[in-house]
Amino acid sequence: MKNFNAKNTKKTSRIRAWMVILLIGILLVGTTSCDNDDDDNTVTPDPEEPAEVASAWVTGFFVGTPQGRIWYMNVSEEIPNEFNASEAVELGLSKSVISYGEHAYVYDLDGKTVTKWAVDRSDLSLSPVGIMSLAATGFNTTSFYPAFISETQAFMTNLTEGLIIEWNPSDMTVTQTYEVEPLISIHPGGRVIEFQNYVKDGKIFMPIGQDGPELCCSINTSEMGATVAVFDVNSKTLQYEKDDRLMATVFRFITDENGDFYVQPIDENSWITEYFDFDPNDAPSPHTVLKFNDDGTFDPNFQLNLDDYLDIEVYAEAVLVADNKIVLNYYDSADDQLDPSYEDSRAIFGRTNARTVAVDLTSGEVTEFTALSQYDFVILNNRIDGVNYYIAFSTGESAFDTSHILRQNSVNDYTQLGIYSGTAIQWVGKLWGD
Amino acid sequence: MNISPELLKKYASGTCTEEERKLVEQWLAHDDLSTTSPRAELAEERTQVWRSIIQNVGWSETKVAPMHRRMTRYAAAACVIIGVFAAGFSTGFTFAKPAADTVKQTNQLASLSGLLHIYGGDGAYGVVAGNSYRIEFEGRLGLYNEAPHPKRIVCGEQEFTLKPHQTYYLSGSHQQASIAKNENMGPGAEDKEELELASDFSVIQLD
Repeated sequence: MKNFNAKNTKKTSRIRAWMVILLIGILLVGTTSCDNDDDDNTVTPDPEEPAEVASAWVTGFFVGTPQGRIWYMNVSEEIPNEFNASEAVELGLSKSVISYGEHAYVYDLDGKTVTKWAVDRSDLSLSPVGIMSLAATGFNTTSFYPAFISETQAFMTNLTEGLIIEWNPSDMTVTQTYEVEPLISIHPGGRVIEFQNYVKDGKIFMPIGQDGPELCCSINTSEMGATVAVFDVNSKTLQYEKDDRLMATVFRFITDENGDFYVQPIDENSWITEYFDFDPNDAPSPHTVLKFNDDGTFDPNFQLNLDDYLDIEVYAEAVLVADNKIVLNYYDSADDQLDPSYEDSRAIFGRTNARTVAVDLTSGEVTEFTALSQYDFVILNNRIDGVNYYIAFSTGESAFDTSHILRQNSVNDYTQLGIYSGTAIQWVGKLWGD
Repeated sequence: MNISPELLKKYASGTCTEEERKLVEQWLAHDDLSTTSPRAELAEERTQVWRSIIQNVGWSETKVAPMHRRMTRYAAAACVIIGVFAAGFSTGFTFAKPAADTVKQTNQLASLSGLLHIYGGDGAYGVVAGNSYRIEFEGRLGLYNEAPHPKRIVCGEQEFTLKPHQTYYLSGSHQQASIAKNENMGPGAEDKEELELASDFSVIQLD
């Protein structure tokens, strides 16, 4: 046994020696290979390094439940053709989603907080990375539409209270608050709302809407002109531009292919003329389209009173301005009329006969616009890389039945990116990618 | 749909199967108003959706469903809320929020090792991922470290450590802060005075 063991030990030693030689050889070959790689200037990809997703889109949407509307946020490489709430991040009740750069921001209407969300570039998972409380600033509106100037500078306003908040989206801190002249609502006791804003050449333009009217039928007639708040980012000054050619209720801008701003009316102008107690002859036109200059003034030389060319029962929404035409949705008096009861006034939106027409901005000539005729309402949601993205609604069996995201290819050509049942889309934004 | 109280309890406690969860969520979201509601009510619902899109605001009105459905759904919703609240209470945390106002783990939510929960005044509440944070505030905040490991917070020149699964009050300001464990939980907690929370704060993840 002993000899055998001795022989065996010698054999084992020889085997070990050969193995060591073999290992050294492998290492030498490996080193040589690495040297060759260096010479070729090539980089071997790390198999552990996950690949980046080429693009990322964020969508905010809500579903109706007995508890109220529950908000969700979805991130995907492309705009999905359907949303599954169970695969999105549930945000809860009373939220609003917006994105800027590579981050999403979620406003909590009840808690008055803004949460910043980051998206992982390899798997598109979402993480909350910062939060900012606004309650002590006096920011208590239901409208969350911050004006982003850069990754480190943004503004929010509450003009009913005369408040402007400057904040830093990078570290989620309030950097300054400004007290400005408050705006008075046309509805006694009501609020004004800055539904949207437009940043251009160091100025923030905020078309002023009205929260309501919830109560019929009194109105501050002295405040009825259309108003745009203009905030100069550099001088931190605010001025209100008012024009009495258009009624003051909710309106917003729509831009043409050159980026020029047009001021459009919206539905509540139609209701005010129908239900409210005042002489329409003493009031501004409810359905005039105006133009707003980049210097922060109304263009005195442009106006298009749609009532001269259309028999509008209720104005709904402009879809686009292009080729010197404005394309808009409205209800024609020949097709349908508002209910006699003010409480039932909004029932007109449950009907299926809204018209979509193109009106020439110079001549007023009206032509039928059929490219979007399969939808009841089409609303511009966002302009991304020069392309318009729309939310379209189809009349179905329920208010939450069907909505769509459309991408505009040309004035008359739209791609429907998906059909979304049971959800209403609030925000579409791109975080990165071509 | 066969939605039983047992199923709702399972849903609320997060122990239901994927199929059951989808069933409940479909039921909650399901809406066939057209078969039962007046035309005007239907139209109002559609208008509200449309207007909310225009305004980009998150309205919080409760949808109006037919009364018989409302009653059953409210009861179910109450079960869900109570269930989730109870689940939250079992963690011993006293700043509990309703279920619908918390961020839920879903397929798109990053796998996190545990969030930092922040509670300010006036219902201000939020969560932030990560393990290290800079906090600016005035007054008093409630903090809860959900993670099984410590978290670090930086307030001006000061640093504090939050132990796993512990709740704290952070008082003063980010220039001169002090921290104390929240004693308002456990035996006798109901006898202790709940401290008023500050409403303004900002928290940013550092790692």
